Amino acid sequence: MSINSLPTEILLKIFSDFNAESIFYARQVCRRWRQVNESKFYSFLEIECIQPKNPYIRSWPIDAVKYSHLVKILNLKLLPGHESKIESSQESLPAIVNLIQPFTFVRVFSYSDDCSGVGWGKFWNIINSAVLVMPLLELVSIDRWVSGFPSKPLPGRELNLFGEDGHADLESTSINRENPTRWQFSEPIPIDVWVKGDPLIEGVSESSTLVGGDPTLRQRPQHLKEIRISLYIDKSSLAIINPFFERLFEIFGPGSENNVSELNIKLNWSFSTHEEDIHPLHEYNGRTSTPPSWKLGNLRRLMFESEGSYCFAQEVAADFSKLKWLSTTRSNWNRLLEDWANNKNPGVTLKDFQNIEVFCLIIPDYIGFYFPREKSDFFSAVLKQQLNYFPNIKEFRIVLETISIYPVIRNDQGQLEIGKPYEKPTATGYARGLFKHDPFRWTTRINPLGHFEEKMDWGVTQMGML
Amino acid sequence: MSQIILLSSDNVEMKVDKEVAERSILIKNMLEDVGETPDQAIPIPNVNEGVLRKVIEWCEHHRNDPPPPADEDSDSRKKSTDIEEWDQKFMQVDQEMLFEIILAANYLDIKPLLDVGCKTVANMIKGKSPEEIRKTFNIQNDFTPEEEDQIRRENEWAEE
Repeated sequence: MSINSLPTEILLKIFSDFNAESIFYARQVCRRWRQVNESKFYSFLEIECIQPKNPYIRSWPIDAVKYSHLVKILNLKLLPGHESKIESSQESLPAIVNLIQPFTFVRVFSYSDDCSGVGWGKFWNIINSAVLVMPLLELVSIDRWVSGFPSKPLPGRELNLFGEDGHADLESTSINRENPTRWQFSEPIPIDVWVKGDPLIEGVSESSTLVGGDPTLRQRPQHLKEIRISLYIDKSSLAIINPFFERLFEIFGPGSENNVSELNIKLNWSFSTHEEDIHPLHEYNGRTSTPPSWKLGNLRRLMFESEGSYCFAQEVAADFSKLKWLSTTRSNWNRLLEDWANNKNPGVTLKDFQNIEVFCLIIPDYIGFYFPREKSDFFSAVLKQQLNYFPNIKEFRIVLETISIYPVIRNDQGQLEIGKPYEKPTATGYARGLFKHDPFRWTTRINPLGHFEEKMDWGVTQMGML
Repeated sequence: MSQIILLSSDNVEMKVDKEVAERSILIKNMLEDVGETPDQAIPIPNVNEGVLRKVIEWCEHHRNDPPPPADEDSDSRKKSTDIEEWDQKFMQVDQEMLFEIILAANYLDIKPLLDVGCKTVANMIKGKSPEEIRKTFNIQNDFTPEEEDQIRRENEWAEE
């Protein structure tokens, strides 16, 4: 008796927990193994679109488009081009939209655009198209990285209002009004218009028009369970959060507020309104924010990291009693405590956070420099103060250059105590336990050779370069 | 404790504790249908004496294990590397016996034994090149030239 005497159902069972690398090699053994592994091999498809080139550059598996009916997990990665930082137009949008059309049986859709200059219009159109063509969606993962480096017009080029990375350059103060098709954008514009997408970039007359149809005219995916969102926003502000979610829920439909299970927001370089051409819709508590018109009803994980002292509970409207994992900076957390003490957070109290099991405190590197030599004792003392807020806490984490994990144990008297910490070697998002490095609960996100992909952490990289 | 008699495909009778035999869902259901402990031997037509003895040995060792979870995809399902030490030693048999045990576990509906068998084979495959896998299991390379060409292109892509 040989292995190929086993029935197909048993061979399938043997291959059932193979990763992409093992499947890849198993398919090269013999015709039967290739056939048996076909549906599994093609169930996961990764498409990489290099910006601003035509999008169909690389996909894995290479011939998966032919087997689109087998694809259950689609990972769409928009990557920055190396030869040019300028995104000249949205030419690639129709190509991307066409590319995802055949994948109607996809259950898990993952989108990521690491610094690749994808404008908001293009972004929303891709998400809208995915929702439209994938009625069986159960999990959507959005990993959006928006940058807005200064966009002075280069010699011989039009002014690029959307930044060299395709994002609206919120900090530009001198806009060339000689170009008749562009000057209008120097006028005050409500920030949510920027987030909703730009009509010029879209090539359509209404900023709200989406390729693939109006989201209000169709049903949301009936089996949708989770939406996981990661927003890395450079040179921007918290004011983006509200219109972002308004647009998102417009696309996913009523009730989708309850599907957002994980939210990761990292804001860098907040801008100040008096220097901008951007005018907020409303003044809200002295800042450029509008009160959220939505509430995340089932948020399990929240990471909120920003420079400056922001109160995440004011920016992210959620039922915080569902939260199991909270990761934030020390200044953001202190701001919440202060606001709470001064009764500034209507509707949110510290009791709302009682179900948190993991609390991760992020300490900026430059602050860490000033800490006493024995950091561990200092952090233990800081964390001890937090015990009162988290009766169900199981683990504290401190992220500095490395990540220190402090188990929380209940002593014989039933009181919570901070345990002895142990360290992990990296302070990247993966070590912080963020989902975006492993967006699929049901599979492992690996490249064809089986290695985890680590997202570049700008802070760590810059420190490392120094 | 009541005992039952199992009859292998090569007509060898084996006395087994009912509790042990009931690790097999097939036998358990059969006994429940009959309603009482049968006097006659229960034929196991697809399993020979040697394999049946191994299967009974496994069932004896695991007689007190809790029943496996009904949901195949549950998170409690262990990774293939997680095989108990005793089971690892138990599975140190020649390939023919290993595949026979897997087939018997499948036929007799002993899911935990089937899992252990499949995990053992999976571990023999993982980390090996296609050629090494062929050698390990004595598998013929039966690809057509066109298929070989397709494989070569896949490899080129992966190496980029």
